[in-house]
Amino acid sequence: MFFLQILVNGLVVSIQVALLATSLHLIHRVAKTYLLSLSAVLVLAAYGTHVLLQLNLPLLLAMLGGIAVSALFNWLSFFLLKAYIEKDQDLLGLLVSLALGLGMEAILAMAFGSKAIFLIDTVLPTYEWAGIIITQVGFWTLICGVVIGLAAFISLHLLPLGRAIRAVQQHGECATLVGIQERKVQWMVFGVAGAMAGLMGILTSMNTALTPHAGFDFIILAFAAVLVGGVKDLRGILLGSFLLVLTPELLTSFEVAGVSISYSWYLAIVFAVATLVLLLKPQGILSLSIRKS
Amino acid sequence: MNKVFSLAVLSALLMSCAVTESAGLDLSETVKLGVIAPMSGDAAAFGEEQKHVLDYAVAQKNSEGGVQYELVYEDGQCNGPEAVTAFQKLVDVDGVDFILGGLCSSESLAIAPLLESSGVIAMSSLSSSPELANVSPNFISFSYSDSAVGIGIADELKQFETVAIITEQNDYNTALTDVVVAELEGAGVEIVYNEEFEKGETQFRSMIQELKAAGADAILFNPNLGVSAESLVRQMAEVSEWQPHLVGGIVLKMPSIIEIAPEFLEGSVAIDVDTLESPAFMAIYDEINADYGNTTNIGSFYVGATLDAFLVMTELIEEFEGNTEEMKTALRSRTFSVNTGEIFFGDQTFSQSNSTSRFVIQSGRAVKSNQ
Amino acid sequence: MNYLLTIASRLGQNLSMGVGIHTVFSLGGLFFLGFPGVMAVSAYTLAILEMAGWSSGAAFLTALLAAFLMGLFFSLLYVRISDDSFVVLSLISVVAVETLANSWSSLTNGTLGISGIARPALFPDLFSLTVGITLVAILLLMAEYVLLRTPLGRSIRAFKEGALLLSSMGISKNSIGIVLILSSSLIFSLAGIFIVWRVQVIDPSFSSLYLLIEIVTIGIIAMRPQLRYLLLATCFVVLIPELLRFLDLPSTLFGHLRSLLYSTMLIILIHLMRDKLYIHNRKV
Repeated sequence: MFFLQILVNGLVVSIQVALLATSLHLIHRVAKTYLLSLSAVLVLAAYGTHVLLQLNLPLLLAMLGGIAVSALFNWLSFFLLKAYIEKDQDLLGLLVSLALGLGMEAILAMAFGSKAIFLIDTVLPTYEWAGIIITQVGFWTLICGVVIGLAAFISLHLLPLGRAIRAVQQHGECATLVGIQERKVQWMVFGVAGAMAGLMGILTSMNTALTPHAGFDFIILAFAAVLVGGVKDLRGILLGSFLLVLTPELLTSFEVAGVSISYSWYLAIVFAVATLVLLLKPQGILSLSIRKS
Repeated sequence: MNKVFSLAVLSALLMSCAVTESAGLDLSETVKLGVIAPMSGDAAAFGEEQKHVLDYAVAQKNSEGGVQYELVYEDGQCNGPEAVTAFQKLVDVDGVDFILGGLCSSESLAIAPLLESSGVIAMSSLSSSPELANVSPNFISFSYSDSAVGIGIADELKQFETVAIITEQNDYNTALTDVVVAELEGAGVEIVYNEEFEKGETQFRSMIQELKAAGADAILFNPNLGVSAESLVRQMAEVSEWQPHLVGGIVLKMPSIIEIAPEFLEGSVAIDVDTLESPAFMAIYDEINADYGNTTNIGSFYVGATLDAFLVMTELIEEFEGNTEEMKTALRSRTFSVNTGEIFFGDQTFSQSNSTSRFVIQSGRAVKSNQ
Repeated sequence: MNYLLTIASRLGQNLSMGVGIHTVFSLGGLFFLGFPGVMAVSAYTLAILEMAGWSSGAAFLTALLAAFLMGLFFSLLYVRISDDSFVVLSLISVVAVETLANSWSSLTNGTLGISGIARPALFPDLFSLTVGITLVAILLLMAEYVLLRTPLGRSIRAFKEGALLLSSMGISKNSIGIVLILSSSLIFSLAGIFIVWRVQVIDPSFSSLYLLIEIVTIGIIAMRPQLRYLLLATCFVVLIPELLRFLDLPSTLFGHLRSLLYSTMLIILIHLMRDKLYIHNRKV
């Protein structure tokens, strides 16, 4: 039962990371750059929700407002990064997005202070089944994760939109030749990815707490998950998210060969797992080996 | 581009050369007091609240006429290297000889070795690490040592056979745990679970399950005030049919923590110095909170300790006209009658007058109880 | 006086780090972001050994060795994994080292860190230390100046312009990459050691993302191979934020403003310099 409880807790966090990793993956598909400023996007959405809740809006409306704010910020990020995307300067785009994220976090810290905010003021209500406890927010996080994951998979593989995204990913100019508007697809993906990251930020902040720098650890995990899973494959990214979250959760919760690892080593374990996987499979878990020519 | 860079460099160098040479203390001029505290980062909330208290104190002092004071704040960021840079700027550029700080023990530990050679006196109101004991003849702290609270907590935990410990990775909390663990091991109490988590952590659900599974008779609840403590209480209270016996320090006394889950915390024990509750002090406390800003994180004792540091510093500056050697002698030999009681330092860093009390959470309040 | 010496010392140490980032990033085009972690490991090695009673010289050499070993580790990663993964893992290593420093308290004294680190007999006070780091920075600048005129220096510049072409000339891309990572690790280690000797204290915040942003900013400004840009970039990055201390800003905002300033500077500079950062985009 203890093992199942740890697994459920780990799954909630894995879904949070997977949502963020999916956003990173989608953006990478159309822009070939890693948008580290998503760490600011997710806290911005949560702060937006908080402000709207303070104005006595109903919770769902406040969440929608927060998601809208995050989508808008992500469009702003796209506007700033357009020049780098056009010229395939993806690593410069990564640096700019890192600086953008850190700068936005500094602005949020100045505006709201460093003190934590709890979007839900009380102890969270929980569901209990066979001794396993999950918060209601955690439960809805799992539901959202499954729904969005399925929607992403179906969109990317079965719908024309997914074909458009894959076409832009493979060759933007050729996609334009066959009538797919590259810029429009990029704008749309940035907006959707921002909204997904925003939703993840709101759910996470509800489930734990909101501080200006709360997004940074998540973006590190998500980024590692994208690489560990294989940049080109959404299934790999989901697998990478689960691997990078569940491994430290289980290692820190159980004794291994009589040795107990402290929870404070969490990020060090993530780094070790990511390094090991990438050394063994440089292109990611679910990618095919690419012959070097 | 070259010219722009050259101009920028030149202007920066010129500004950096604006050093105020300290040429002896003239009490007819405004006396500068340096303050080193975290104004950014995880501990910024404490720095901001201490600023509220000091701003009140200096306004009150200046309104009395006589020697006028000015506070010069520098951000220590609750880490050693930044505190050293802040110290050097205060001493060399602002020309201060008197520092209220560091706030964090890591800040105080970093600047203490520099005080004697610089001829600077520093008084902290919140630093409490046992490593600060006798660290410098020029440094004292109006806080109580973690040793005192740690021993008090350990005495409370010694009545149990098994104990679990959960600690935030923070200079104050880790020092407290070290003292408690040493005492408990000496008393033969079994520590069945001892976990640390990163500063500012907010995800505790797996750790809580481990804690519950450890089945200890009592738990040393040792997060720092702020997001971790609030998150930990909330998430522990989510677990149904589990009401562990929690023992902790100041964190369990705080209304902001108790009000999160008063039923869950019923019967928990906090070991801390007495809350300052005299009507005169409470009037000051309320005025600070109303006119200058919130001080709920640092609480009434540390508000008092901060005011005490300011009062003693200014008293000695005026009496000895800023002569730091004479101030040091007086500091070590006198008993000061201040908000936090009768304070005597002798050759110690911490006041030898502070003792701890036991508080039990009852009906949503921390009530003093000796049993 | 000490404050001026501190600023001069920081200029020296940042210039040294600037040579490191200039070599690996500006000249070589290699996005190696793990240098704060390398600095922290090296600095902690020095601090731990000195507190354990080792002589400054032995501790210094062992600290350099620790940096070299970390450089070897990153070199292995570089050779084995993709460029994107290398960048990300080197970035994550900064956070991982900080976690290690916080958690391995039996070795590092945890969050309190290690204070009272003695300076070596060669640099007993801040003045001599400042002279020392300035000399080191000048030597490193001279070394880079000479390097740029050697076949190795030309190979490094060719590595950035076209790694494939480099390979077709029989020069291993991986070898150049390894040389860049190892040399920059040693340079950053040197700077980290001087920081520890200056402040005489180290704690887990030593390895931080803001240091990374600061040094990468130097690398971006100094993207051209001429060393004068490196000198100017270092002065700009170190001195401009110090000006904030002299403005009458609310102290609660100072730290956040500094972060915002560095982030904004980096965004603007990359935007202005982007065409110079990728040689194949240069207009002929």
